[in-house]
Amino acid sequence: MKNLKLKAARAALDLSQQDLADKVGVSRQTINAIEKGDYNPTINLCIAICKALNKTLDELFWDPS
Amino acid sequence: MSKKVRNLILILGSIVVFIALLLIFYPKNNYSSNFETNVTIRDSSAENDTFETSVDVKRKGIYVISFSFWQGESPNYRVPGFISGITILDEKGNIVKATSAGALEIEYTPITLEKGKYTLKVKVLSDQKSYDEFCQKYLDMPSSADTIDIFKDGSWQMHYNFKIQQYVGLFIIGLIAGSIFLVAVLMIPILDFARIDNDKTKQYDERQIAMQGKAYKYAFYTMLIYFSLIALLTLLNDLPLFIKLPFSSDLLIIFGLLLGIIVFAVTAVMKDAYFSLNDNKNFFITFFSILAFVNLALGIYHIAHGDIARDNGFTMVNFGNLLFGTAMLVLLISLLLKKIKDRKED
Repeated sequence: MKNLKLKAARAALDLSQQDLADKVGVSRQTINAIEKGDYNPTINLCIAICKALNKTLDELFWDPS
Repeated sequence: MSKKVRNLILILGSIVVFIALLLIFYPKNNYSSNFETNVTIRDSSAENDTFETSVDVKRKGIYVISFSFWQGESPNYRVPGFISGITILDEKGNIVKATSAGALEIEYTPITLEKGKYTLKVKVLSDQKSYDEFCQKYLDMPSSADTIDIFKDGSWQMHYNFKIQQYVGLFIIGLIAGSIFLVAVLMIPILDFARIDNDKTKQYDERQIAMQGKAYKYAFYTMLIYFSLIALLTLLNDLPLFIKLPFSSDLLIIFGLLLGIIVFAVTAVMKDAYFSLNDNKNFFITFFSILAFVNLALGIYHIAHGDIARDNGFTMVNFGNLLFGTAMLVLLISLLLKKIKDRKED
């Protein structure tokens, strides 16, 4: 399932996938895979992404449905 | 580009130029002589029982001596009704090699040969007595199992091939080129040069490590299936009507390893898990291109000189570089495809 919330949060800060990848210390392809729903990140990476985007885990990774 | 990377490219470039020059200017000291003859045996006695052929070695060096002989139209080890006693003599008459068999194809381990004429002498051993005498005189051992069933009267068309090939040269170059391939592809995950930063450690993220695990799994299953098939084919090989594999056993093993390596490398490349976050991809693409070129050039050289295969099929010595070059090319194509895919995504 695509993670559109992550994509939106990244776009809101005007960050490219590469910018976000550099901030959290992963490859651009990893960010791309998370946004496309091809890869489920570990909790550590989720936290790192949330910190980089100033969001909470719920805001980016919780699916209410 | 950092100074370290530039120096490395310079060293590799120099090696390639050196190999290319060697390929062009290295004297090709290969000598061979073939002859066919009709051997007729009546009342256990050959009409003409000695033949010989010779080659002139023009310079001292390390050589591989090989010869083969058989009866009939094709080299399929058909045994005539006598044994050929083979001696290879140097100019002074010293025995370099001696052996005996009904039909044979043999390649000896490399030895140093002086400059001069080397003669292959064939003695037709048409009965047990002459065979015993040959074994005592030249092989310094009693004759092997009772061969009384072999000796028959009749007439046979015999083919004798004698070759002396220089060992140092292409073989060593080929070995180096092949070895660099193995080291390079296998060691990429731990090599600590050609980084885009000065960090000494490889940095893979969690997804890359997970994908590497998948790549290793695919490689493992590929090798498992391949070696199971080879084991099965080898078992079946002795059965009648089964097609004999035209590859030597060392080549089959290397091919299996190569298959595993390539499955791992291509999977890791396509999943973006081959290079670490701080690897310089362009450096490795250049490096792999050089390796593919050198190995393929050596392979094509062997094809052009008609020695890519021997009578009994492909061997590691001449076919290996073509194999490594092709594997490298596959890896290179996957790297370029991935690069194009990444560019589109950007």
